[in-house]
Amino acid sequence: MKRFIVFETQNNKYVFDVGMKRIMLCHPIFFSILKHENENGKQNYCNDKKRSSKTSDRRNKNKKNQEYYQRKYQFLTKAGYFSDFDSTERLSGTISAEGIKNTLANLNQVTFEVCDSCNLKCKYCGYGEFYSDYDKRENKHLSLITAQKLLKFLAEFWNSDRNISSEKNIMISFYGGEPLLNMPFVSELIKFVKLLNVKYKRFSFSMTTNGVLLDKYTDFLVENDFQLLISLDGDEESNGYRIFKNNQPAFKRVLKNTIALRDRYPEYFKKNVNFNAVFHNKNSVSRIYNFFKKTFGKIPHIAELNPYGVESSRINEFKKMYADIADGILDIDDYEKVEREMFLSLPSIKSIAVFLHKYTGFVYQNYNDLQFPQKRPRRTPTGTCFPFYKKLFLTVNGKILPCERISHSHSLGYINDKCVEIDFDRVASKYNRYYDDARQLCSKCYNVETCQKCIFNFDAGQPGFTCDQFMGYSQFAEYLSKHMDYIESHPKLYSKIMTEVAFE
Amino acid sequence: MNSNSGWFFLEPYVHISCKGKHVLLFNTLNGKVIEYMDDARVSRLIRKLVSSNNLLVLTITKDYLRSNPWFSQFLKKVRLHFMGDFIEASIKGKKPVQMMQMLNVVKDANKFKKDSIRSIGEYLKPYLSEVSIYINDFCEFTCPYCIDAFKQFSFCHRKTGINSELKIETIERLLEETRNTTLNKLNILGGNIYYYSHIDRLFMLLDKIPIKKTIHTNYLHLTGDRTLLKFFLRRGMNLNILITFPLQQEIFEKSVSYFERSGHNVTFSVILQNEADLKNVQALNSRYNMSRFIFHPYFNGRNLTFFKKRVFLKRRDVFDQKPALSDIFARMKINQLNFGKIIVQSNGDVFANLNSPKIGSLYQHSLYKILYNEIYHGKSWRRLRTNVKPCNHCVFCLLCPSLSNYEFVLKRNNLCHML
Repeated sequence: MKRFIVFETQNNKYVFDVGMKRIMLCHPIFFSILKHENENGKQNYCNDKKRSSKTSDRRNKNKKNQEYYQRKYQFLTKAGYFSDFDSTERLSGTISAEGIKNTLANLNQVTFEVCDSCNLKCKYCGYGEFYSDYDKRENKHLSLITAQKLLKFLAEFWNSDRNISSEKNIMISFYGGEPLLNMPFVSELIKFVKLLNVKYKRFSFSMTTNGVLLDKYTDFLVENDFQLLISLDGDEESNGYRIFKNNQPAFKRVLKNTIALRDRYPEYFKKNVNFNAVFHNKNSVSRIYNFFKKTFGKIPHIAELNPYGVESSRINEFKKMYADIADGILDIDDYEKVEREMFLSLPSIKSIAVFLHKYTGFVYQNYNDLQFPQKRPRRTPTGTCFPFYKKLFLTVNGKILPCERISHSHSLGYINDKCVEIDFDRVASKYNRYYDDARQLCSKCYNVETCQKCIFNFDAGQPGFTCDQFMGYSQFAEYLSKHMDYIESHPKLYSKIMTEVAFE
Repeated sequence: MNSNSGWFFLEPYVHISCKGKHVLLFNTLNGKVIEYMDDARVSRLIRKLVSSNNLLVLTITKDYLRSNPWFSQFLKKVRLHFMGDFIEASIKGKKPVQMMQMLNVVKDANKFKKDSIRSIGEYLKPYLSEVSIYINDFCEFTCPYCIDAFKQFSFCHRKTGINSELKIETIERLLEETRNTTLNKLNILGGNIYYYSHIDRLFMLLDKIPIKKTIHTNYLHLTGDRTLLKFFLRRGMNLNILITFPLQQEIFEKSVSYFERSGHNVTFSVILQNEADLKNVQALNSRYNMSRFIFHPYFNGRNLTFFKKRVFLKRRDVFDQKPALSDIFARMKINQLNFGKIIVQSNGDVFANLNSPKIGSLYQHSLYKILYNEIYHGKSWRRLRTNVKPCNHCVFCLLCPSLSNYEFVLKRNNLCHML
């Protein structure tokens, strides 16, 4: 791997130190020296470069400048810049069974697939016609006993000395299918959670819903202070894919229910209700923004369709439906205003935020990182979350998964009539095998730090396996250039991101 | 310098401090400094440079260069120390940017305080790195500094009229609770620790813990049979011998010499109150290996002159320490001297700093609760120079070390000759 990358925006020149993950503005002469070294492996730019200067004054000045920048290069090198970077060593981290147990003891969220039935048949549904990497939908309800068994199992970890926190909040989330179709389960489980003897944790509740049955359960949701995420793609035309089983559009019903909730509980609505809009070929960023802003005074989260796990026979149809948000932004009127308000909801801004968090060197996770800064700590390859770091997901069939976005074939454990079964050593081995397979490719990628790739979403280890997010030198230089160019155009975004955004 | 327009910038590794007309630029890579004590032009320039619109890069026009001839000299200094540069360029093009220092701590306690769902206590135990336990408070000696030396640095102390000792079961419970922390140092102090009822059991307990353990003993306490101590020193425990002047020479010779020659992991903490003590140290120098001696200035209420001469920081002292950028960042958020440390007194009271109120009691609170109290109220672990006068008005604020116990006992925050 090169020790540094030189890149340019429209007018300006920069260098990125690969080992230190830092970016610096460059004087053009310094830039040339660095570029020369990268291309030729030599630092003697002064001697190699033949300049035909018209006057000896100018020749002297050029020579002085080059000598100055050679000295600057040596100064920076002595200070640790531009040093060799062993990316294989950096990515040699592995996962252990003990680490997984520690993560369970400090879980952020437990998500229950309350049922696999749904009262809509959204065209793009992750459990619908385009995908096959999930358990067959059988109109099942999650057993209350199974869910309680899981919580009792987890409570032992939460009460153990593996727990590192006091007063930590654990989000109990309800997912589906459509969770409002199994409210008896939700209601009973909440009662159970409130009686659970867990010393150093507190619980809150959340739900992702299509909103069709919202009117029936509003009071219950408000009473239990649910954080609600309502799936709605924008105005009526934008919701064209969200239909009932009889193919009738669901928009008006959901809108009516949501407005009723807002009007009846305005404070709750303001504090607890958010929206998730799926981006596709029937809507646009400006339409989504305008609809939610005008109707609810809210900025929705916007998600693209999931391109992973699409059935090969449906790919062409899927591609027609699919839209890239990056392209969708190009035609927004008053982009500056929309960008300000949507902020991290826009993938472009989120990408800048991730870029700055990883490549300024000014973001620390916690106080220990400040007190004991580690220069180049080891980590695992890819952008895969540590098992259960974000959440634990229990499916309607009793499978335990690290999140709801990956195939059900990757379960890490299961609950049967007798017990909760998680073989921690086996889970660690599974992850480490995938990491071993990915490591060779990842160690050549320059963008490991901002990698979002999950090992369960690509075929590591398969012959000819590639990663669509792999970045070699040129691709990474282009990535750096694009992001720095954006910051040059929006300098105030830098301090907004650095003061307001926190990624864990 | 050419009179063409262009971009002036500073490097991201330069610490910039500007208070009024006083400007300090500190190169965190090599410790070089550029300082202007009273220059409104430079301070105006620097303030513009660090605005969120400019991100360390300023447009410099030909007009500006003509009407500010001082800028050339300033730029020369900046370039000399590799703190920045000037790019001649058409200023019609897009202005470049530099990664400007803006610290972001994801799990910052202040952020969590504002969040209704997240808790300030959600990342606690990993912060604990050092525990000091006063196992008893009985001692047969009546040293004059006993009353308060322990509030300035790790030192033994006793309480008259009380003879409390920490229950061994409580110590066992505490050490059990410190699993899954990043505890890496344990200090054992007293009174005279050899009067502790369960000293054998304590040593056995400590022996099982795979972290750095240090027994702090006044040299006066080393006269008896110390076979047990020697045994555990051979097994990797550390010994810190506390020494004060005037020395009781015979006791010193007999007890300290053995340990000094033994090859065990032994250090010597020497209290210094005045110039005479310094001379005494020089006398020791001729006989002992001074590399294992650590010197602690002790404020006795009457030796401010000594402190001003020997302890207070001068400009040069601050620059010579060459704080790294990570130190400067750390000092924005935590007290580097106190963070992660707790002190347990023999009556079970727990402190993050012995000069601040207690944060709990081992007989009443769990370790979680105790750590939560400290991280929430932030009296010691997050005691910052940026929050106290006059340091928060000084350009050296983040270059100076974190507030120590001396600021408490001297009742002033600026132990320096800067202000």
